[in-house]
Amino acid sequence: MSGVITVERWSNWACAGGVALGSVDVLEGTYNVALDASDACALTIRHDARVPVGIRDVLRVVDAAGTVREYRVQSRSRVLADGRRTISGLSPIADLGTSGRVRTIAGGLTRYDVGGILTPAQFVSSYILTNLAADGLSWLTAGTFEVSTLVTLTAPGDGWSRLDWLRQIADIAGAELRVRRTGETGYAIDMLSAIGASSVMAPVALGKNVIELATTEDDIELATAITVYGATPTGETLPAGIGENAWTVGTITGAGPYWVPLTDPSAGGGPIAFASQFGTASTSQAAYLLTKTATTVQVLDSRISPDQAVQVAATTGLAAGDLVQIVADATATRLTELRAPNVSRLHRTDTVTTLRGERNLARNGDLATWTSATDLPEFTAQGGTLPYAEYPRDTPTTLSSLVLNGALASGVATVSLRGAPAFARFYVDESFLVVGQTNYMTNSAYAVADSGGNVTLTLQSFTSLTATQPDGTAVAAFGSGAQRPASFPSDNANRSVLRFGYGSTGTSTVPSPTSRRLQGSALRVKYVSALPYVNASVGLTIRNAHTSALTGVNLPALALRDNTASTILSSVRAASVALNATAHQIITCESLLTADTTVDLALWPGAAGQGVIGILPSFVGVRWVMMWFASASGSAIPPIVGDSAYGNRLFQRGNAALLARTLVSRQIRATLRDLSTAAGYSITREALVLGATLPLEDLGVSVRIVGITYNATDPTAVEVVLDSRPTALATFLADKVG
Amino acid sequence: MALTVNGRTLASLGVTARELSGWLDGPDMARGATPLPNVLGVLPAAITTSAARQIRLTLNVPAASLTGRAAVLATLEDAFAGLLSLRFDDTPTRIVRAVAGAFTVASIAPSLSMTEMARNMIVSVPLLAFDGSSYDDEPRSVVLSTSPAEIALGTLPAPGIVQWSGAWSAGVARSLTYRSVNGIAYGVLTLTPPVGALLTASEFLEIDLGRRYVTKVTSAGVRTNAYSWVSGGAWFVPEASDGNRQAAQWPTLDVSAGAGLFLYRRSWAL
Repeated sequence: MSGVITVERWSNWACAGGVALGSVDVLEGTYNVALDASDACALTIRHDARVPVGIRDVLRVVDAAGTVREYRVQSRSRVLADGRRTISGLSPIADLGTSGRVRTIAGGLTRYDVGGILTPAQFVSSYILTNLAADGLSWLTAGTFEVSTLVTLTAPGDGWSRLDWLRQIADIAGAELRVRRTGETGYAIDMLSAIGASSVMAPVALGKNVIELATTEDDIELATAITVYGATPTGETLPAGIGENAWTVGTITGAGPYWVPLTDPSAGGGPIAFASQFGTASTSQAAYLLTKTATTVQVLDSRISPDQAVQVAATTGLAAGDLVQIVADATATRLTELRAPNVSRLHRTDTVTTLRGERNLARNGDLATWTSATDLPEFTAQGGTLPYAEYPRDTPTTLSSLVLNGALASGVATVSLRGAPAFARFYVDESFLVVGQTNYMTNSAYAVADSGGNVTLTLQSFTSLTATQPDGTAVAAFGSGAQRPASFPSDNANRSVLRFGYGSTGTSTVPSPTSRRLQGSALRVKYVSALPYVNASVGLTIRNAHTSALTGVNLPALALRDNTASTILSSVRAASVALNATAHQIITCESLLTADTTVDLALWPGAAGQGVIGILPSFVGVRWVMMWFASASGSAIPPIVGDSAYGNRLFQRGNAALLARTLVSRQIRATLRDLSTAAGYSITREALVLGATLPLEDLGVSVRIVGITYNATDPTAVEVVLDSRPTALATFLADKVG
Repeated sequence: MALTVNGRTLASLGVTARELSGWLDGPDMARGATPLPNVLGVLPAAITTSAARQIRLTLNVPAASLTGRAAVLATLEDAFAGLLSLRFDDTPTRIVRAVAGAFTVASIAPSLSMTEMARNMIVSVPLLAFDGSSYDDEPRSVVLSTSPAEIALGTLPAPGIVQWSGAWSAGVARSLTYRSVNGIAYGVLTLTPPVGALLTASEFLEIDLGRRYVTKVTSAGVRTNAYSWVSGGAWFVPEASDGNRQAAQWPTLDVSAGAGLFLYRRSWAL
């Protein structure tokens, strides 16, 4: 019989309806758990003709503590005339690699090249957890997601398996992947910042509890300088790098010199990994801050405690809340590598083709931050009043059951309604018809219904009632035909859209630079001859509810402006929208700079929201805004990103690699004796937890448990694989070492 | 000296025993040990290795004639073929399982080995007992009910087979409980027929505590795997350490419903 563990043969995972088929005698072998999700078992069993273990069967291993681990038999071998069989099995995560490609079906065709810009949790719910029943994975659910970094990822034409997808997402987001058993009912996908991070074990030392410790050191993965290459954008020849980075300035302290704290706008890691990483010392990397006023400020020194900050001689051009870019010199040459201070140079490269490098120069261009439903920071109405409001993409397209909430006299300036869904939104220029009336009432201000579905609308003066109406009179919303878009494309993490209220059209395709517009924050661009082009792009959704096409100046427009001269550098008008159609467009313009220029990006709404009164758009919405540099004309639009530049991801990856790889690579295999099994007790603080930190007193380092291998017949014998790098980087570094 | 081989006496085989050695020797066991840091002592390894026990039997084998030796030896080889149950006269109620190795044959007068006078033989038979225990020669049966029934044991664990009968519907959980001599439940095995499965009054469930088989046996003798009926608890094996052999107080087995029979042999350490 087996030792303390029991091993059973099952027909399938318990959560997949498997049933127990018999007990298996284990003669020897091991089973393991690992941070890289390569959990497996390798067992030698006594062959029993009554309980024959076959390929694709499941082995259910239950240890003395009652922990259940399941493995699907991947291989078995035998020697004829020998009563033993050798079985190897893989954990359920391996099923995610063989259950089929992630796919969508559109227009009768199955497509595998799906993707988007989403958080890991959104990728899992949108793509991984689809077609589960068809692929035999109904037991798979979403678990815990500690990392919410936006990931840009699209599968190639022949697609990826779910396991490929999960590894890519975890790699890019810097998360650790586990598929965790949730009792008998299923397995959950977790993406954590660090598995087992909250567990710290008691110190381990020779003479205390270590019998033998073997270590090997080499410089194979050592690196003191690193260049991180990202994807090569379409039309470019150089791969993306860390150059286009952006960091938020914190509260500046000191009386000269000054400390300028820098943080990632999306709360990722800051730009500094080592004390004095950047500075004027001979052992530091030279760096400057490129400000929004196109000035460069030399970095004198840098620190990581008590915060990540750089030291400067003067704060001219720097203010809390600004975005600054770390560049190599006073002429704003872009950084290409990161260096660890105070060490001899050993340069490596790291290539991750799924990461971009661009920066969105339009602050809050991803519309991620709203101060209120009618206030989008970094964008201001200029040239006159320009109402706009936040429009969630799942806003209902129609509102029914609206009635007058109280009798309504003719000529009043406001109207009370009831019967709306709780917290329903009502937008500027939307129209309502009281049954029995011939004239529409038009809303003049954004309003939100209360929890009881009651709302009071302020009417535009020319749309008051012409006759008194009793309480309870039905009210039809919006007018004939669908006035709101039925759906939106899945982009920009499905964030809320900016919906324009009434605008003005002008008479020219090129909008007037000073007419009523929504204008982004100005940015003084420091001219760099290798990046002379400034591009602007906007995602628009335009609804035309009429029986004729929308054309010309009634459509919204985008322009790059010279903010100082108040002139148009470049502009583009939205394309025509067919009758009774909703168009989702992306329009782009570019400008070739020749000197330092203060630019801004501006949006003209056209005749937004006036669809009731003529052949005009009933809905104009902005889904996102991008502004970026390019080396050549016709640059492809980068994936949408907010204030946290794609370059920051590469920057963080480079620093993480330096932190891990300045230590001599050291992987340690420790053989332990689990006395708790022999003595019949266990001490929680000394329990082995995958991913936990293990202080090795003899070596003076803290290492991380990256793998635990249990002996199937001797529960006291445990082999632990420990890694001296601060995070388990083997997964994403292993195939990128250059 | 006398012994029976698979129930046959040596006399019935036409031979007599000259010498017998090793029949009561215990197995030669090796056990690893791990030294513990900072502790005056070692941690014994959980797994032991043991060599097979060697029992050596030397027989006087008469032959009617010189050329009759081959037939006599063939008869003897047949008697010692396969897995043997050996019962020795000093432990008449116990058997030892062994396999015979190659015979060593010598003439009763080696210098005259090919003469009629020296036709009788001395045959040495090595018997290898891989099992370091002896067993009752006759199995025992204990009736199981909802009242605990004592399981008399030897000095080693005695895995046996439970035959559990009584009409049993799907979804109904029943337990087989093993209690120590002081009445504490040391092991409980819970079985529940899954949806679509049941036991009629003329069928029974066979639970092999040693091999951990669960088999449903119909009235027609059809046997099907019913391992999926195991719904909780853990497998156990009755052990002598759970009783008090000197006081003849034993651990017990009982079933929560239905009726049962526990079939087993006591085993004894050598």
